[in-house]
Amino acid sequence: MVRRQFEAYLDGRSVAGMPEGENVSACNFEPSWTQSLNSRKIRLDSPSPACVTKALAALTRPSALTRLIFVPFPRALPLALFVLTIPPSPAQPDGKADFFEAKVRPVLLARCSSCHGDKVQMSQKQFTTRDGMHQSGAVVPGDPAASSLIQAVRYAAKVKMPPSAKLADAEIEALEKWVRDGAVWPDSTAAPSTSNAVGHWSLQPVRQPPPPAVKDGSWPRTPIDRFILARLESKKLSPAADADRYTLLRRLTLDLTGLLPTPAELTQYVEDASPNAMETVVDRLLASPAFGERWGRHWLDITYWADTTGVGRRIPLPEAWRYRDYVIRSYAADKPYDQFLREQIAGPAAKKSKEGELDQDTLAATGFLVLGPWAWFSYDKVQMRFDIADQQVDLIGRSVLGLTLGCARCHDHKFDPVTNHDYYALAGIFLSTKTTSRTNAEGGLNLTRFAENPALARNHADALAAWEKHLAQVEADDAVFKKEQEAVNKRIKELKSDPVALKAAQDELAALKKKTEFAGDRQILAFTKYNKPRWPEAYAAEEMEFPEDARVASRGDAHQLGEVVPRGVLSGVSTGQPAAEMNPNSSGRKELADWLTRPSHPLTARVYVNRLWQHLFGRGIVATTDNFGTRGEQPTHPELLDHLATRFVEQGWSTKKLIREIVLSRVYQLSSRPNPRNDEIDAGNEMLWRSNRRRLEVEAIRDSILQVSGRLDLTGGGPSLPLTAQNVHTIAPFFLEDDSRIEPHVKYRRTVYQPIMRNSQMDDVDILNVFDFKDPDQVVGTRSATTVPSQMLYLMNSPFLKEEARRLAEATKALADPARVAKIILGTLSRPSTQRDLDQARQFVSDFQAAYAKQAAAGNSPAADPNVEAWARYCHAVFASSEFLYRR
Amino acid sequence: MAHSIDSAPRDRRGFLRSLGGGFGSLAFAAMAAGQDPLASRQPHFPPKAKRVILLWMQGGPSQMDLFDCKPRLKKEGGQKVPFQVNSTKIRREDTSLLLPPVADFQQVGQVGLWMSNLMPHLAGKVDELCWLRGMVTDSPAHPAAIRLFQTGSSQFVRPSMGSWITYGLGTENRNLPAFMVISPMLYGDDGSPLHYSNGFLPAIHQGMRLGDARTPVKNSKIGYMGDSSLSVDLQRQHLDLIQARNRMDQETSGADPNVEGLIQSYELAFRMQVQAPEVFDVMKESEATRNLYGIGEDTTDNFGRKCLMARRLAEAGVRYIQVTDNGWDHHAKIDTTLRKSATGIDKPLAGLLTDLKARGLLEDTLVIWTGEFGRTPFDQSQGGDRANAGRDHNPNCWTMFMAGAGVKKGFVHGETDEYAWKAVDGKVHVHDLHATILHLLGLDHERLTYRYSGRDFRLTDVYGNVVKQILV
Repeated sequence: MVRRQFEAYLDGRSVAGMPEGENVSACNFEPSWTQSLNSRKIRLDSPSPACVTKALAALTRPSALTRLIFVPFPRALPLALFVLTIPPSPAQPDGKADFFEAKVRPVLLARCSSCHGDKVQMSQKQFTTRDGMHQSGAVVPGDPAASSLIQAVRYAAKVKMPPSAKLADAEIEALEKWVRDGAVWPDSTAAPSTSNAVGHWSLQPVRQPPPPAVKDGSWPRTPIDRFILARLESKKLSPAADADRYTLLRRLTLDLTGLLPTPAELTQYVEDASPNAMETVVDRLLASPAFGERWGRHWLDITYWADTTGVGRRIPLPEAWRYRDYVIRSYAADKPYDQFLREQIAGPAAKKSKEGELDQDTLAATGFLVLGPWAWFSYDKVQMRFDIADQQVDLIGRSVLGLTLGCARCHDHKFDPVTNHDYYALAGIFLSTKTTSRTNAEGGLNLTRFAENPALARNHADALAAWEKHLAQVEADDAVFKKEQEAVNKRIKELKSDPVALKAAQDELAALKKKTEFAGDRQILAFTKYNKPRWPEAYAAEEMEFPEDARVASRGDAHQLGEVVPRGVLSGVSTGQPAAEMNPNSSGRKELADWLTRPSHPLTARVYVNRLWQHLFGRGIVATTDNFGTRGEQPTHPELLDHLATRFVEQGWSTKKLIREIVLSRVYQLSSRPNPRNDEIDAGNEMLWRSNRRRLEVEAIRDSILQVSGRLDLTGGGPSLPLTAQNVHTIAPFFLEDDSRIEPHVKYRRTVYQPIMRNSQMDDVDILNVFDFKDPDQVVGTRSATTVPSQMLYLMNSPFLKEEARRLAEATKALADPARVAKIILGTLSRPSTQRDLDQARQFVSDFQAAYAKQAAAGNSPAADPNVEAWARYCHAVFASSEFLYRR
Repeated sequence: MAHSIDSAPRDRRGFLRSLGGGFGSLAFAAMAAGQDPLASRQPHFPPKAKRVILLWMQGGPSQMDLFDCKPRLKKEGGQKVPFQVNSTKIRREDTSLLLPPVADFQQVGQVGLWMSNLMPHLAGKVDELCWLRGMVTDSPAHPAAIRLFQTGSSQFVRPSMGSWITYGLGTENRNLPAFMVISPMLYGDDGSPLHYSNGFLPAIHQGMRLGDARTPVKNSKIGYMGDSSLSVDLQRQHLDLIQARNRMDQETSGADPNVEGLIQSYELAFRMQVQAPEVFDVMKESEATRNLYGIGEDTTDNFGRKCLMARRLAEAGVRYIQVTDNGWDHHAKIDTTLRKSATGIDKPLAGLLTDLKARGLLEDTLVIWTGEFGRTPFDQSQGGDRANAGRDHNPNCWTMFMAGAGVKKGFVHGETDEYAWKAVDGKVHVHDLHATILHLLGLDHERLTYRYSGRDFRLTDVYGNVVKQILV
């Protein structure tokens, strides 16, 4: 049979050269095509109704993907747009639905549907729909013994099903239980069961509670203090004393910038007698670039951002730094949060420059949605596309709304007012958003080019010219090498009988190889090609050409699709205004962003101000910062939370203004000293009668050690991935090797600017692997602060601590003991040293130095100067002790 | 101040046990949470196995060249593939010709199992082993298949099997890591620390790594374990200063349970760094034992050391031990490369089984030997030079075996078609294997859950059926 060539338009693009009837395996599909297939809405240029019917038949099969038939393509005919929907089945709300969805439907789909499914119905039996099941007569609700289905799967009757292999016992038991319990087949289009949580506190409108009355009117400095004191008084707790100025400046500088106060800053603040000394310091810190770095990193914690993609392999994303820098810039500039969210979700369309061009500064904003741990290696691109949309829905849920929307992928949320429908309404928005590209070459993410401008063009042309020259050289070298290699290879073949000459020839070959290869698969030529200068681009989301609604996927399986759900927002979360109207010709991201940033939204501001509070106090007013649902914790100070949310929106969604109000409160400035009487009432300090002592985040530990040792490089921004020939493994898609070293010009920058991998961090920043750094693949609003032995091993033995401690010891070498200890203690612990510090240091240095000299004399170790070694170990111990690692 | 260890134990095993003494429980009783997350715990029901040794053959060992005898594949080798290959799970360009098995098969053991002659030492052990020939997985790609096996999910970041198990059972020795990973592949093509990560479980459940696949294990150390530039006494002196400063902090700014936890954790880490090297030192074993594992012989030294370490760790009460051998991805020259891989592990593997049995450890230790998938019956060189021929990845079937606690001996479960291309009977999916391993440890895979972000997670997600046919 002569196969005719056909052409189909998918997603507005021509897909040429697909032979008729070809079985196309899933791995041949580009994500952007399957995006269309996923919702069974496809645009075909069709010659005849018969062909259309044939294609549609293929597409409506549950596993259409493996048997897609492309139809002939005569260009003359008009385009037609077909939308397929499956009619919803009658409503059947029932309490046993979960059991059916979890245990029964999967068995029917996996084991029965190929013969008794939507396409084929052997013996006129269909087990994939409720009506089909009931019409088949195979089940008698309540009576397994009389149900032929049960007898067949038990292999107890003449008909044994499935014929290929008996079901597992657990599967048979599930089917039997289901029949015994009435064979309930729930209807996923049933009315949302939002009765669950409509009264939940976080979904009520934000109120404007007046600051409460307090007994001790002299204590509060700000309205925030009145909310706190009222609760303290009601619990008979007395607030701790105010913190001393050294402690306070250390706390404030770490919280606002992630760095330590310098000795000069300490002196200045401690000696500042003016009544607004604190305001001066706060304003200085809020204005410093370090503020953007510290708080930008907090935001990155609730995104999937990293410099690589892929699960397992480290596929570099050379432009991912643009999103990191966009976030840091936004925090430094105090970009209003509503605008910040709109840019990240709806994209630069939300803000155009005067010329009508895309705003280059915000082009990377939608990296929020695009950068993620996508499984590029997946052979099942339909499922992958779907899983990406799933993670995007979950991202918006956890980071912006404080809701776990992922649960609703398979069923209505059990605890929160989020229905299965709501989930697919949001999923449709992201299925209509272009996140991935057609190839795996750049890690498979969608790239958007910066707009043309003369300066860019000039730079690019220059870089390209230089690269071309370099490439020509490498190619010429490679050709020479190949020729030489061929010659030697030929000789080796001929020399088989002469071992001495053979050995010489083999050595020659090895030497030749070194000329163009680094090792293994890392080839200079391939790498040079990879390194072709790029026109500036950002990973950014774009609109799909044909936006479309999602179909409910049974148990989240993209190949088991049910009814279509129109795009929309959460039906159970009310802003007191009409629901967002979706523009049918766009993805709906703009409408989603507009809805999220409505001032009357009950969740957006509350969730965000709670995050700010947590970063300043160590615990959110709602402790579960990413979960404001019924399964999350209750707020400890609900009125205060609403007060903060109201102030936040009133002040134009300004992060800096709200932080300023919070840190100027008296409660922020309390001492952390425990109090036995208070401990009996509130040991966990939920009422905030004192400041919480907490472990520094890993960034603050690393940055402040480098700061004290004098090695911190405050340069920021720009690419940081070490895409060097030694690091990049040249098998497509290129990935980073384990021996990657961070490039010298990046290595001592602040931690937020270090390259961030997805699986584990690079050796040079191994400290990130040890101290609870945030997993880039997860939304982590609250990092854990574990105390595990591997951390102590790191603190005692890592080269990083040893080296930086030695630098600090060397830097203070010229000073006499008292001045030396004073300088070390002030620099690291932000307080004046005590006599006890000095005595301890002298005792240690003298003991250690003697013992070390003895060890060196015994020839057991390389001899360093014992005195230098002892002081280095002293500095090391200061870094490794609680006073340094914790902020009070 | 000198560091003192408990009084000298009478014998080695006594010494190893002594590591599990009172210290750990004391240290952790004081920790902030008030409860030791690694305290040994009772499982859901009486267990058959107390610990697991996973021998992880990364790359995908070839079932039809080692354990799954297919006369028809031999007969038709070199001929065109006589059946339609329409699985979406393999790369389609390599399916034109059949490649015959590269080794001869013979019947071995009392059970008369057909096994190729590539692993003569293991052949002497078949009566101890429980074979699964119908293993199946989801993906023909290494990263996805490895992650499915190690964590139960190929798409999302999840805790690894070892982490789930220490989370469920705790450990029997608080002075050693509960979950040890010996020489894993770290990065590059298919390695990733995610394969032994704790995911969202508490960090204490993370696997502790010794070395990596590219470094011979005798040159490997656990990260930051000890400081070779200082004697133990000097290290202790240094730690004493750290601890003095910690206590000073407690005195001057008020006692804090987190700082108390830090102090205790420092002591534990110090004990670990003094005592763990002892457990890893295979030279503490007799020459006869070392010979049993093939230590000292070029081809088997590395894997032999790993296996002997695994036995020492099992004996000392470590809950979950993974030993990695990589290089089982035989796409080319399978005739020579597979032979090399098989020889490298054969004697150590048999030695481990012999040694575990002799010490009574096999009674409550589950030993698992497997890769992430199998290989195809097709010739990847497509009829090119037979010496260069190799096989591609095949998720449709592979052979693995278990030994020890709770599994049948000299038993075969599952069957493949005449070319070892697809499992046709006794199919066991990775989720089923996970459910079965947990079952042997006394854990119900549907009840071993962890609440994270508002949902209960399981190693087996929503899948998994215990393979009851292989249980004693």
